[in-house]
Amino acid sequence: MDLSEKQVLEKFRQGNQSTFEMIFRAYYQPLCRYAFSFLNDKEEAEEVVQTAFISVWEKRTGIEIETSLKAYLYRMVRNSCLNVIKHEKVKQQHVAHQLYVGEVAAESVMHNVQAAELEIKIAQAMQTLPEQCRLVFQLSRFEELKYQEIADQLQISIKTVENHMGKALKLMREQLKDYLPLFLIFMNNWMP
Amino acid sequence: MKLQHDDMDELIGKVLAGEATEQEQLQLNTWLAANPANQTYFDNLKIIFDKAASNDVKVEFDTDAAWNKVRDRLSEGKVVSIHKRTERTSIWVRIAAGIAIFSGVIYFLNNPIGQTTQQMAVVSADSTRQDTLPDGSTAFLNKKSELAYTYDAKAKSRKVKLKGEAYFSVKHDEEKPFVIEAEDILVRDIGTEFNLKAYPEKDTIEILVTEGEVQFYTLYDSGLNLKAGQRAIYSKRNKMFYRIEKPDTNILAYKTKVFSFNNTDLKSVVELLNEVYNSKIVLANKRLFDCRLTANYKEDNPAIIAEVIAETMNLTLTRKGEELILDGDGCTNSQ
Repeated sequence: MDLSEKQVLEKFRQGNQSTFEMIFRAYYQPLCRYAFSFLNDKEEAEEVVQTAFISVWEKRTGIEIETSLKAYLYRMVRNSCLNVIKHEKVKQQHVAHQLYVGEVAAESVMHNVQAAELEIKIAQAMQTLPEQCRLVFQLSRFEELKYQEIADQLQISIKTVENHMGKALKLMREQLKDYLPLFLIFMNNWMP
Repeated sequence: MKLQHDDMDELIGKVLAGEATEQEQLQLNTWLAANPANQTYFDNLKIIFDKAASNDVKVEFDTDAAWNKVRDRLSEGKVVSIHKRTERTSIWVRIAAGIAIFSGVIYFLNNPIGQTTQQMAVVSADSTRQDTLPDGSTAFLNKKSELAYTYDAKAKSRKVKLKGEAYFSVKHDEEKPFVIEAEDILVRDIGTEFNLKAYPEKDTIEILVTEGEVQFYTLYDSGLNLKAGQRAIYSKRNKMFYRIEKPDTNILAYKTKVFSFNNTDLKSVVELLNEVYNSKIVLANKRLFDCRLTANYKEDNPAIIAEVIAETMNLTLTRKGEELILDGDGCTNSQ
């Protein structure tokens, strides 16, 4: 943790509201996007992130932050999202969404798919991964954790992390085959 | 033949995540060199890996509104538990639907044979088409597009329904708001020029603002406020708005006939040219698909562009009836 972040944390702990606002503004959007990648519901994602900020504020004097405030917030949001997902209703919604994505991915090849559309489709494909597999992938890509850190947090072996990462990439590619740039696809079919 | 990559996914994941040892990196390199299909497979996974966390396309959240809410909740001094909003939303949907039906009836009763309304329809088939609307605004329609304009003198509203793609140059009038409707999407002009792409068969509705400012929204979501140079997409499927940070220089090519390619694969180049000109430029063999082109063209004749491409990329160009055929050995390095 560098000095400036230590100072920011110190002010935050003392209950300085404008410091808190600064932190909020810096991380609100990226955290919402992260929560959205789990929940696929904009309102729900905002609710989780806002609640996380409020609880951080209320516990400001007591919290132990080992790495960085950013990592702490990400972890908190992630855990809340997982709690929400566990909730029965949302789970059902999630299943419904998976079916939907499956259907659409089976549509015929669209020509000239814009790069931006591909990115949206990748986000949607990520939603359909098996839960643990998706979690490992998200920890690696969004929280930028090392394999060892992921293994520690989820209490699984590094080998399992490697396994999930490979599987995540493979499953997403299968779903997205039709939308990846055509010349790449072509090469796959082209080999004798 | 099945690709031999079943055991490679983990290794590729490690390399992409920066977790591979030197030895593993070498192992991958050997595998990649063994077969072009392996390289393609790796490229596919890399695209997914990179774009999954990319910031080029962003879901937008309203930080100001959220901060106000959180600040209010801070003073309440209690963490409000997470609750679902679905119920509330559906009530609003019902109310909105009720109002819509109600006002539809009123409108009908007050409008004996459209005395207070002014209407105009524009349809394009296989070519583009420009028209001036009754209020002085102009619309440039891409192929296969339809537009219906209605001016309601009582409500002082200008309304356009669009199917397909069009570039609008709106004559701004504070008193008479100009709103475009394309399926769920509404675009309200605030003194503006913009392109709206809303083909019914596509998953997304796309907007590019070139001048002024618009609101890009639906009845249930205030959406995005977009200024000149900004681009956004609405996904019909999950009803979400995304800002696009990456510029696409060829969105307006159907109107301007100006093309700008930057390390673009030749297959995409040819597809775009054929789409804009109804031309039949053909790549004779698949080795050409991956050739990369960086060039700008402003030209009314696709044949001339094809000639220039042949020249720059060392290809041959032959005519066969309507077809313009580009042929060659492919490209080892990008142009």
